This record gives sequence, structure tokens and C-alpha cells, in this order.
Amino acid sequence: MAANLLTARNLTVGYGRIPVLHGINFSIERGDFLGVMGPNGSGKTTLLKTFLGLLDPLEGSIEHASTGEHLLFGYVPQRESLDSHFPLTALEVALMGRYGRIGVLGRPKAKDHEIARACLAQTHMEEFANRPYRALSGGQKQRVLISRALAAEAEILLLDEPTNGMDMNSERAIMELLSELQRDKQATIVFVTHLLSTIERYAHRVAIITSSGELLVGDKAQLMKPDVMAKAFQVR
Amino acid sequence: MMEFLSVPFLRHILLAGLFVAIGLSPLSVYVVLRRIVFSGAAVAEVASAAVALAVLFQIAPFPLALLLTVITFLALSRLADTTRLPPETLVGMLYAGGSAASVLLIVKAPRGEADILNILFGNILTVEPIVLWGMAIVFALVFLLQYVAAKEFLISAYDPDMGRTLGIKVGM
Repeated sequence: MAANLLTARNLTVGYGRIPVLHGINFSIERGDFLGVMGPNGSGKTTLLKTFLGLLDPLEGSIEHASTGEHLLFGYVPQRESLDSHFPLTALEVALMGRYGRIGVLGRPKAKDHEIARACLAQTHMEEFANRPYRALSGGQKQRVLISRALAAEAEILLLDEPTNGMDMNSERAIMELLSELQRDKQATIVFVTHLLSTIERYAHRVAIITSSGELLVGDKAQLMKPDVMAKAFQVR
Repeated sequence: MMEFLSVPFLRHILLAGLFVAIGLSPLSVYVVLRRIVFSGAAVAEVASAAVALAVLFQIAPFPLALLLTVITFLALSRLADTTRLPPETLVGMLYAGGSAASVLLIVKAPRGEADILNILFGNILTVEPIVLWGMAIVFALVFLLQYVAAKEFLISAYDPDMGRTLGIKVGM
């Protein structure tokens, strides 16, 4: 199986004709636990959305290596982007991850329900399956969204600020869950965060977006140094 | 109460209202989810402008209204995918633009305002059986489509980005 699941070559990302990041060259490896960080507005989410195919690259290319027709992503968006009132249960939200495998105009079958429940069990949310999603806490909602991404049987999990707005304990619980998935299921995980502590504690590799729009990628030991951080965030 | 139903035109009114309610109420859930609640009003304004245009050039109003409305909303859907403006902003712009175009075209109409207003707004008291049959068929198809494509409607409304990553044609 290919070691590199996704390779960006001379990639420029942005909205419309406005570039946000340029000259990106790096790969996401199978089994990676990659943390992407940078200042607010630096292009973290734009980069993620370009990898997902939600935005077209302005320049350069993204190559996929996959076991199937195309690379399957499990996307965990920021919780706030989803409607907080719509009456879905946790299981129904997790079941959405199966939609890509059901086919046009098809309906979820018993097997899809079983897989969704199994994914809720992986994130320790099985007992909440029939509870309304809107009644769950922030951390519980995040776990359900991770279940949804797992239900897609994705090759890469992409999470956009998975611990945003959470207290320390909840943040730790989510990151421990992701570490468990990466360790026990050999999941490939890319997460966006602005928290240095989260990167230091959990990521294996780091991608840092600097204030000048460069992307520095490497091992934690290489990049998590004061001079690199100072340059990236323009602090003294 | 039952005497009310023995009067044909009152039965027709009731049926027309029921068809609209049953056919459109499930769709309204997704409209609210997508935050485009004024899209119905915007459709009406675009259709009004198209009817006024048809009367101005003395051509059949219904086909032109249908064509222009479909084209406008396909264009709007495409625009919503490529711009960072929220969908409700685009719907608002369409409502205002359609409304202004209607007024300008109605003023120019050779047969006058009253004639066009009768075409635009109709009269529920004069709903004919053939119209009821048409409504029943159209709304049955709308209802059936929502049932068959339930997951596509749901994910397109609830989390379109997730839908796209799963390969679902959210734009359609």
C-alpha cells in the first residue's frame, strides 16, 4: 500500500482569485498524526477544504494514492457550522457517514445502521445513540461527528478545530480518543488547531503556517522550537 | 360543517390548499435548514417578472415563467457554491431584483395592470378540476422525490460540505 496518501505539489490555495497560501509541497503519510497550526486567518481551514476538494487549488496539484476509485475523507467540521436545532438523533448523524456508500436514491440498510452504531461505540457514544444530537454537550457532539467520519470508512480523517470552545478536560478527552484511533486502528489523522499545547502533546508531525503565508512541515522536534515559533507567529 | 363540503368550489378550494400543504411542507424543513426561507417569495417575484415580460411581448406566460424561474435558480445555486456571500443574501438580492423588474414591466404592459395581476395572483375561488389534477400530480411527484432522495435532501441541507466529501451531488 502507498505510504503517501496525499501529496501536494507547488500548491496555492485561496478563495476566488485571492491566494492565501502558496508554494505548498508536502505529503500526508499513511498512519500520520499531523497537526496543522497557524495564526487566525492564516488559511488553516482553506488548506483543509482544498484537500477535501471543497475548494479548487489556485495553482499546483494534489495527488491521491488510494485503494479505491478516489481517496475517501472523513471530515469533521467545526461544530458551530451545523444547525443546533434540527431534530436528529446521534445515530442519525453518525449514519450520514454511510451516505456516500449507499448510492444515489438508496436508503440506509441494517448493515449501515450496524456500522454507524459500531462507530459510536468506538467513540464511547453508543449509549447516546437515540438521544437528540442537539441535547448533547460540546464534547459529546464532537464524538458523534468523529463517529460520522469513521462511518464513512475513510482513509484520512480531517478535523477542523476539534476542541474549539472546550474546557481542558473535554479537550483532553477528544485528543486522547483521536490518539487511541491512530494507535489502535492505524488511522491517518490531520487536525487543525491553534493550541500549541495540543500539538506538543499529541501530534507526531506538525505543519505550521507562518504569518508570511509559508507552510513549514516536519517532525515536532524539528519545528517546535522557540525561534521557529517566533518567526511563525511574529512574536518576540 | 359537512354542508361546506357539498359545495363544489369549496371542495376545490380545500383540496388545492391540502395539496399545497402536503406537497410543500416536507420541503419547507430543508428550506429552513438552509436559511433560505424567503426563496419562495423570490421565486414568486422572478415568476412575476417573467409573466409581465411574456404579456409585454404577447407570448404564453406560463412556459416563460417556468423557464426563467428554473434558469434563475440554477444560476443562484451555482453562485452560492462559488461566492462567500450567505445564501440568504443572494435570495434577498433576487427578491429585490425580481420585484423591481416586475413593477417596471407591468407599467409597460399594453393591457394594463389589472389583466397582469389576474394572471400573477389567480383566484383560489375559481380553481378548476383540471388544475386540481395538475396540482395532485405535481405535488405527488415532489413528495415522492423527497421520499426517494431523503438522504440527499438531508445532507444537502444539514451539512453540504460533508455531502460533497462523500461524493454526493449537493449542488443538484
